[in-house]
Amino acid sequence: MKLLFSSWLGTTIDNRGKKADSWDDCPGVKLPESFDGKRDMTAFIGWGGVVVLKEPYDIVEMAYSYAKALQECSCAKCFPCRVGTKVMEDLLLKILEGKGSEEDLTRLEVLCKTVTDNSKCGIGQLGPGPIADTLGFFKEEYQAYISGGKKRPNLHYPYKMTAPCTSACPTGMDIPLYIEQIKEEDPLGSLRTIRQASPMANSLGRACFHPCENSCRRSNVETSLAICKLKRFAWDWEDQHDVQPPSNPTKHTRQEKVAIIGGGPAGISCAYYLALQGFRVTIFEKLKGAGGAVFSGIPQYRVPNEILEREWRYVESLGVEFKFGVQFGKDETFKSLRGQGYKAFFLGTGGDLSKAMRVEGEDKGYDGLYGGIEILRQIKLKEGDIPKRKHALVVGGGNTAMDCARTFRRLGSKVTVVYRRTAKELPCDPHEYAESLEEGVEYMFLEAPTRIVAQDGKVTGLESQKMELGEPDDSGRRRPVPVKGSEHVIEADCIMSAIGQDCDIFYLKEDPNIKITKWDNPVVDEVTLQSQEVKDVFAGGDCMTGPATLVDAVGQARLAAQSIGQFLRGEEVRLSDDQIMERVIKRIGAYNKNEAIPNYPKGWERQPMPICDPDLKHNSFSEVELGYTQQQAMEEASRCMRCYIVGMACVANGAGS
Amino acid sequence: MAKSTAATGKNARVKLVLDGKNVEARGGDTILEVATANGVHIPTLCYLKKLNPIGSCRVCSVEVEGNSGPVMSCVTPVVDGMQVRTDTDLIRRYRQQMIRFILVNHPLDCPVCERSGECSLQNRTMEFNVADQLFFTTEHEKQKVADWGVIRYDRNLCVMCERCVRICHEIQGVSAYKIDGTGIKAKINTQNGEPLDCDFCGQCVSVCPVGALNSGVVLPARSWEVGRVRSICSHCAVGCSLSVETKNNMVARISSVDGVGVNDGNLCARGRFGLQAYQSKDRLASPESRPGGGPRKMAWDAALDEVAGKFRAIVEKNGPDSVAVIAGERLTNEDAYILQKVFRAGLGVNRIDTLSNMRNRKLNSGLFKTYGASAPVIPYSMMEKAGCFLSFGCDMENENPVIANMARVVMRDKGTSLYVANSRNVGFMPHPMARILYDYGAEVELAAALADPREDKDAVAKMAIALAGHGSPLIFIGKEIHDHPNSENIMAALMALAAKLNGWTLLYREYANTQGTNDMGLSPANFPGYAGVEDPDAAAHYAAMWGLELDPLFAREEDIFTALESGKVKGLLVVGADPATHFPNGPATMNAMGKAEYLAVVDSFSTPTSDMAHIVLPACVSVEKDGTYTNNEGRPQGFSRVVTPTTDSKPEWEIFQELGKRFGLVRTYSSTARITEEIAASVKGYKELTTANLVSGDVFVSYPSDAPPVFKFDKGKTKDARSEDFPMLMLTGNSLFHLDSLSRASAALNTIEPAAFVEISSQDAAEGGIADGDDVNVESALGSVRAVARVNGRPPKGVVYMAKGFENAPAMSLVERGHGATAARIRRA
Repeated sequence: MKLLFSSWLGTTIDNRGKKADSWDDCPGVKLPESFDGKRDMTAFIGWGGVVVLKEPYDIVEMAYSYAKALQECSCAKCFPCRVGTKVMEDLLLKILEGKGSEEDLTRLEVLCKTVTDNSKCGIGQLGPGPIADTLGFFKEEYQAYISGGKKRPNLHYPYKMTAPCTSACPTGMDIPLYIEQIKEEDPLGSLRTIRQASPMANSLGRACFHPCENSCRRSNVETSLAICKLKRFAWDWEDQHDVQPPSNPTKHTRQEKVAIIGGGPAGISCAYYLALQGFRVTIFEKLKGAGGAVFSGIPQYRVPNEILEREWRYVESLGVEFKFGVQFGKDETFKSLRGQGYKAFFLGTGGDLSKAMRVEGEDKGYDGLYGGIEILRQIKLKEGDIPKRKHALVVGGGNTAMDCARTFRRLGSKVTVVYRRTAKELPCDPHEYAESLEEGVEYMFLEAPTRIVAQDGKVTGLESQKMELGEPDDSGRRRPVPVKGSEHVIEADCIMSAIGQDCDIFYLKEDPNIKITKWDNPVVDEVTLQSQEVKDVFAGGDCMTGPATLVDAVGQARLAAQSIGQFLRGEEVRLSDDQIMERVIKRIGAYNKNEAIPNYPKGWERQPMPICDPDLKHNSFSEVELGYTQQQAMEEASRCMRCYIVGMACVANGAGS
Repeated sequence: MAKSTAATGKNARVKLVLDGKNVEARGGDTILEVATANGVHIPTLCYLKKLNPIGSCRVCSVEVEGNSGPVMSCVTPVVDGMQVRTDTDLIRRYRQQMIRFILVNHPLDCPVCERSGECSLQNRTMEFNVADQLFFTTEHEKQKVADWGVIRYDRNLCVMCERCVRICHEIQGVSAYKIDGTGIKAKINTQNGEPLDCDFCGQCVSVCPVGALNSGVVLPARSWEVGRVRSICSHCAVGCSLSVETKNNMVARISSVDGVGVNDGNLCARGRFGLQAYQSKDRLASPESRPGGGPRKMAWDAALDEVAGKFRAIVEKNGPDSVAVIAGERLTNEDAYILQKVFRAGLGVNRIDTLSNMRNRKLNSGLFKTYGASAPVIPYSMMEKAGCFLSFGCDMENENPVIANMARVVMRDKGTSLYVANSRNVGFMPHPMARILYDYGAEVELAAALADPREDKDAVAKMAIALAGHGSPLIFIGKEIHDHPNSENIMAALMALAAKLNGWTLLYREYANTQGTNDMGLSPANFPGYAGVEDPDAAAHYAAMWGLELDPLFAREEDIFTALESGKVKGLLVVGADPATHFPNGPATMNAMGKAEYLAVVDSFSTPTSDMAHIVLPACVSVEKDGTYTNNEGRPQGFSRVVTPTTDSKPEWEIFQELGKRFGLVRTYSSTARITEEIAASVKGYKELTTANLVSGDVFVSYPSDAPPVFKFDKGKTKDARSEDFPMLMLTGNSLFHLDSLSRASAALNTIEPAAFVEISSQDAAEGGIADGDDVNVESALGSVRAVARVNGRPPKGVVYMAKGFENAPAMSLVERGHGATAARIRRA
């Protein structure tokens, strides 16, 4: 984007003194120009440097405000940051008040380097850098204050403390804190921290796709922290020891009733946050148990249902009512529930219809032809006998395909995954792919189905066509192109489609005012998750975004619960300045994979996850990963560099809330 | 620091270069640990070996090849090929800067600061030659000192190293502190901001590197003015090492040294803050006789003549079974050895016993039969080998508390799981895996069930399966079992459980020398070393040792108080014990003692028992004498005199020796060391004792053991004593702060816990209209005692708990002989 000045991530763009139409572009920086649609953002200062978008701005005042923010955020656990940022704050104030000297600038520079080099975590290590940048690039502005006569403009400087991992997490969880608590032998404190952002510590700890780990600065040293498995450790600790989980002191302190449609991760999480705000919440779930895709999709060897039950029973204990076997749209409707006094609705129905492969024979009802989602549910919930299959084909390459493949291996079948691109493009968790190979799953790459082959109503094979990779598509992956005349039949007695999910939102037909996208998702405001047409309806999770991940659902549920709370209390449904700053930081990007990290020697590798007995792994649905021991968890947690960072904006045109 | 890299198989040897020297190290050790092991000095401030590294001071920085910034050596593990330099210009400059940061707002209080002379900040400032200050901040207000009584916190001096927070969490398990606030205004505070209400162990005070955390129980003295002598604590049976600091013959402070003794610098409130007792005004000041007209001070010779004369006369008239000796368990091995020698050899008296044995005769005789020794003793280091811990009838956090600290360290470093079974809701931090609340009386049934895992899903079966899964449990057995009328069967069942799973049992002993006084033959059944008194070989052995003729002795296991009541025993010597408070059925006990023709008491403090005596002889406390104690592990540990008595007291063995002279014994010992030598020469199991061993405390007594392969026990339940009149079951034990007169003479401990209390469940309290803090009467068929109600979740419904160490409200007086619990009722006073 075009801006006045940037030193972000070490690239300097200086357009000061140039005419606006001859400004050099700064491709490495993405920031919104408007802070919240009403106020302008004119500058940004953070761990990567200083960015000035336009006037008005005051570098010295911003540097002072930033030092003050660092001092407010300083956890006090190391000497240089705790004291050093205060010395910096006082020095900058002195300069700002016209009492500074040239010597103070030198002292400040030395101070910045000392604090950076010796601090324990990101605040001290990454905080002074941008202040040093201001000294380097904006010396004249400092001198203007020193020589006297300059008055500070008193602009507004909202800031947010976060971390690259936290910023990547859809729930905004304070990851460095919960890791530190594990390191400090306080797993229950860690679990409390986790539960401030999500009640699903068990499901996430066992099955999250961990975007945080892909933004972990430790991977710039050697390997990322096992953030996901540390979360599991905290949950397991409470679950396995003689501990009473925390109760809800605000249980039912408010009268309003909220209906949650769908008892999956989005629904359970939304209910949790609403229960903590005192609302009376009921979850309407069509299956016989809660957990959604975790309950009926993710196999027993990844997330055992007995443990999942304890996870949602905990949410129940906080004042949430669960009603099972209730299909919204049939057994209850918007009208019937509004009639029962429900004042708001959260739609969390997920996406539990297997996408059709759109091949000949798919709709003939052949024995041995399954949708991936449906067959996983039948197996996990033990809905009738599953006949033994000699050779099962799984069409697809995502986590559902992995679940299907590894499940059928355990049932004794030969399994082949049929995927239209190559191993490099597989969208599943790389770990799942590796485990599937270890368990004997075979792969046919660059193949796509064309026709189901059957005899006497039973599947006998899959006609498939070879593919080759062409140009990249929208997702950035190379598009598969069919090779003419390459059709051949793969012999099999079982075919599962695991190529994606569709959402079943038939219940929305009741209210034509609720807008629906062309992919069958309810339309809600992008930021508040509230329907703009029918104000008591909110939505989140797979049903709203299309198939995404567990943690995305939980993050949206948290946001939706905030919006619902504001709505029911008659407040304006909006984000706070803090949440806006969170989005600003997401936009500019909290993680830099090219960053060199000076104070941490490499070579301290990640703790390996203990795995169950190989016999159990291959022949049963016993949980594969056994979880870290306390020793492993504490040592893994000690690798965390605690990359807290502060991002601060300069906002003009009036102070915010 | 947890060494899980060993567990993951990465326990490889790595090679690195340290200041130009090639060294080899274990993968996973930190740079600091490797440097220390190789004699390379890296300065630290917040680092403490017994804690996981903290990393707050940033003083231990080093340079590592390939890294452009300083690396903190305490938190960074070594990797193969690392090149480390510990003393470069950059590092030296930065270390100075770190100290300058702390000194920015540190008051210039050195002249009046208690820590001056042993202050890490002073030491680092000197070491790094910090003579100027480059940093300044705006002045902020001096903060008030947080005065929590026994412990005080001065924020102005605090450097926020976090050691106090960490030790209270990791090792004490209380987690009393947290960091409150951010930035330079942050301070240490209690979790809820209320005044400190914790174990008052003082671990935080002992680890504070500066003068921020201090004790209010210290005599003013500069650190270079005090003399420091290592000693052994004389309260409970753990056998903690401590340092007694004195100035001008006054005990100024008790401190502890990490790495020394069994306790690694950890103490409890009694050991650390009970020092005022040693030289308190409650000490018995001089020999005193109590004829009809009132107490009369006596000179020692006259007093000893009287005592010896009276006992001789009684024996001459009525035979040697007419005199009895009841000893307390704080006597040293040397005191005990001379006591039994003087009375057995000098007067032929064999009715010699300790209160603990008298309270539960069957337990010790039962253990003796099983183990050939007086208790199942094991080194505390076995905790590191255990597959899991089981706490049975034991309140680990309140009984022998430093053993809980040791267990906590093992749980931190090895992840050892703890299982708890108790008749009350006793807790433990960190949380146990599972807890079972059993009915008092059903212990044997439970212990047998734990040895017999079934597929049932109930709590007992789950725990049995878990114990078998871990294997090798270390079973901590507490006071409640010790005083239980069915203790013999319970112990056998627990020992059977341990044996089945290749584990061990550790029976908690109560006082500093409970083990040793038993070893030294303070029992009517045996000589020192557990040889029977009726065994002619043993008698011959000791007769030869002592160079005299021994009259035949007969084991007299009849209860001494019963014998006093019937008139069989007419003369009684009570040494360092207070039966009126600590023996069951106080009124009957006092009545029995009152019947004695002559009651002589030897003690350091006045007690209800000494108040009844015809004559009182003042004894030294541990800091005033030499001796050895044998702790819960069977480890003898020696200590020597630190201060000369300020009262006219003598060490107990000297008093007994003087009596012995008057009984006609010729041989005397010129010093405690001579007695120790004789114990080593004559007592079976103590053969390795030499003076050198005692100082290091490195040997264990070898107890003969003919453990049978099968432990026989009777599975029956004990009858529930509760009735309509007395619907509650009252259990007794010791509080964390008070054991007996030694702690009750400490003003500090009395500030923390001034009065007798009774714990009662909230349901029972609600039904009785009793609120927390109310005065209540605790009544049994034997009498009534007044106490303060503590309404908490520890006792289950129908059970109450009273600590027995309060002489003005003796819980034991409500209990029948042979029992540790009684049916009772609670009424608002």
